[in-house]
Amino acid sequence: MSTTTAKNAKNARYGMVIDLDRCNGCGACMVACAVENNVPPAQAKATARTGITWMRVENVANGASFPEHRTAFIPIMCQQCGEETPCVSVCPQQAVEVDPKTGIVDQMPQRCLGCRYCMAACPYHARYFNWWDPEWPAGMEKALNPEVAPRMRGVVEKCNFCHGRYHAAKAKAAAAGRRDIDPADYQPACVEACPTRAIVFGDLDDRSSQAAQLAKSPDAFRLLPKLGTEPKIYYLTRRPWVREIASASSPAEVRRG
Amino acid sequence: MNFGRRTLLQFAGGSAAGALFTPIPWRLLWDSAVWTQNWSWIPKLPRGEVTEKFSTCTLCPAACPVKARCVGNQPVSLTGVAATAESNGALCPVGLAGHHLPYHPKRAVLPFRRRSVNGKVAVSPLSADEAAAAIAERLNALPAGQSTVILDERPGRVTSRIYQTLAAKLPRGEYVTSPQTEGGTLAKLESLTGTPAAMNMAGADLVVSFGTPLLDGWGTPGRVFAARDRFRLIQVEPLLSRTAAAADLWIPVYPGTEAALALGLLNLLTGAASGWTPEKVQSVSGVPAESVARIAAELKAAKAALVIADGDPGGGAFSPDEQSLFAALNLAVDSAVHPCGVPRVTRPIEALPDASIGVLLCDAASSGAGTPWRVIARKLAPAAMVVSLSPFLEGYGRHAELIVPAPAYLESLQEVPTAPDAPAAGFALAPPLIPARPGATEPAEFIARLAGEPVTLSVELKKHVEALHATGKGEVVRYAGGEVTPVKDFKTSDELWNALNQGACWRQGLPAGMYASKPSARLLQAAVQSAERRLAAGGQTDPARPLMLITTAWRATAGNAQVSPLLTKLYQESELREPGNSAAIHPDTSQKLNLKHGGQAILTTACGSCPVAIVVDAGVMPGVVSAVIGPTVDSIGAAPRNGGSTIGDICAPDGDAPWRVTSAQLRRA
Repeated sequence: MSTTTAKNAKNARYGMVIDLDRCNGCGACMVACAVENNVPPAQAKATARTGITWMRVENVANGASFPEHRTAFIPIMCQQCGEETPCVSVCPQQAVEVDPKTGIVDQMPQRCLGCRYCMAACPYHARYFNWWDPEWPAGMEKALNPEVAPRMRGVVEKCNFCHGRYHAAKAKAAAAGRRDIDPADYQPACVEACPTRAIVFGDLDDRSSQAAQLAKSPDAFRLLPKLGTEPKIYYLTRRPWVREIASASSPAEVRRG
Repeated sequence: MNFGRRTLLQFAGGSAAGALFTPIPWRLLWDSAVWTQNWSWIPKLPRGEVTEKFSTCTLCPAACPVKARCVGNQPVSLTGVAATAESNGALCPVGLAGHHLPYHPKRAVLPFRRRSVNGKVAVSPLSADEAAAAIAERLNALPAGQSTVILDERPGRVTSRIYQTLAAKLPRGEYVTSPQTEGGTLAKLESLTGTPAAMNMAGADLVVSFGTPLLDGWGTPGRVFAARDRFRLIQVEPLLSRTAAAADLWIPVYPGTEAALALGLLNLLTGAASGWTPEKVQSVSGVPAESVARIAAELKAAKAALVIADGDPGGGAFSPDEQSLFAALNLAVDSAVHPCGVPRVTRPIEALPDASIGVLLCDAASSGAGTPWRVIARKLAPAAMVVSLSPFLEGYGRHAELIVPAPAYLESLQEVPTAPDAPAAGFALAPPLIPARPGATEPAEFIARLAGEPVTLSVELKKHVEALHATGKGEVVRYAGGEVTPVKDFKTSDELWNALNQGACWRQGLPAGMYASKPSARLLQAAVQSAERRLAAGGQTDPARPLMLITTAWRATAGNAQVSPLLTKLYQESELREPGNSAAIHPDTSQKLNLKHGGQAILTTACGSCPVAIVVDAGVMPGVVSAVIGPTVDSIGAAPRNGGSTIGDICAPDGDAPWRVTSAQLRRA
């Protein structure tokens, strides 16, 4: 990890590289994300369609039968589109913005009126609607993260690369008299939690960052590149069938073969 | 300048137009929007000083170091500790949400007694003293031939030693351990050779795993993943599990015939199991002859190989007969097993005669595995009293007459013994981060009261630390910063005690030398004979129940263990993991039985029936049902329920090899 020492704060383009050949589908990223961002446990009626999982690990299969059958896991979150960001274009409330300093697509629930145009526009199905008010079992609210406000019923939410952690890293840098943050101080919860170290996070414009180097690997690819949305989430795999499935219009279509 | 009506209007109009170019109206609009959406019904966030504290996870035997971010004294998040080689910063999903467990809806709050009155279950609360008196009354009237049993799910602790002492003081007291604890292969090695064994996974270049979920929670996950790039993994099991999917080579095998493959390997490696040619192995286990030869060649060529057969946390342990064979395989190759100073003391409940337990005292610790209740129930005498000393109402508490609440994770000082995959002996403390609920009683202290031998767990733990200090052996790794200090550098035992209480673990140095020489012909012959006996006993299918039921569980989610309601993200909102009572079958099997993915069915064994949700999965062998023991979607975080069948209840224990394969029938509900 290198510390940026530019005199003035420079703009970053944060992104992730996820090695699908290392991911074992344990779900630690999903739980760490929910803990960090105060996403409540599922309501009794919640399903895979109505639940809220900013980070969702999809289980995909190669379609072959036993014993040639093989599976892989693809963690999917907001792809942090860099160009023609569909959710930004359609939001009538300006509740979605791309932060020019970080490249992060931010969702502001205070502005959201819950029209869900952004959900319809998102080609990655990475946005979630609060069908219910957030509820935790009695006493568990004491264990919420004090840095992230829970969202109310009727608004949309999604991954923001743990923006609270970004602000904390900025505050730490400011306290140390630095304008730029130390990359080691800003790692989203899923990256920190991944036990197989399958997720690498960093500034894609910083050539010295591991994420930028991995993104240029011949094994790297992005989801739905034909749409031209320039996502900042890269995936790595050496298995052609996994790459093929991940490039399909909906990975969920090929689950379980 | 004249000040007239026109001027006033011009000024007002100009002001209104000009204000639009200032932030004032927009700020007012924004603030009023925010102020009117204060969401007063949304939970208030905790406020206070943010600090970092360190502890050790006690939710399963992995012994992962934990860093807790606290607001005031309340942990608001748990993460792994990257600075230590113990876990390399990894923590499983169960551990990541472990700070929710003290507030779990299924938490046992007060002691209570459950009785069946006229066919209905009546629950009456009572105090801890009254609970102790009720048990004492039963102990005093214990019929001849019945025993008082302490069931320890996590042997190897100081608490386990306390239990062994206390058992001797109780009327016909017995100390037994869970039938399914990790480290079965190493325990068998120890019993065969007389030398305690440990594995050095970091030094292994080949691991052959028989049904062990090596990459899905087994051992200390962070340590396994850190070593993963250095070893080749061959996974032998009937279904495409997470570990099989990520292995370098997956070898599907007919359920219950793993020993046949092991016999074939032993034959090729040592010539001990004559007759077990690759062709015979293929006919029994379904493993192609060329695969048998290939694995044997790889084992022969490996510089440091490991054969691990700890079984699935829900699938049941391999029988002692089969374990002899796997242990012999470790001895027959250049192995990554080395001697270890800590003997594994286990006395599985299987050792007790059936219907012999008069009073069963179940400890709160969880082995991380799900043991079918039937395995324990058959050891209970009629009208036996079951006492659950657990923080939760589920697990053994579902079947208990008396429930005496214990402190939950992070609520009391706990100890963490050597992890199953640790290369050397270890010990850590898990200091409490939040106060225990009133009414919670430390199980060891409660049982000590029954035995008339007052014990304070913290005092006993301190004595253990004093003994560690007195030996001067080993080193202490501090979780904050990863600093390593030799024990001899601690001037007093209090210093060592304080260090462990602030978040640190003690570990023994790696032992030098090899584990053992090549296995003796006698040992090999005994292993082969016992495995052949086991294979001959199995494999009989019931025509009325033509399917083979195998059970699986994700470690620390089955049995006595409870999970945070947040794990609904995995089970319910994403379907990443199959919840309890789901049954996976091959598409051919589903077609044959006219069952559809997501449909409801009834799974029947000789022990009963259970409703299941069907999962059609091409990774399951045709003719096999792979059912999950674990939390069900409607039970995670829901109000406590009692009764209802689970997969674990209908698994048929089979002699000393419990429930690995059960004949079953599946029909549409």
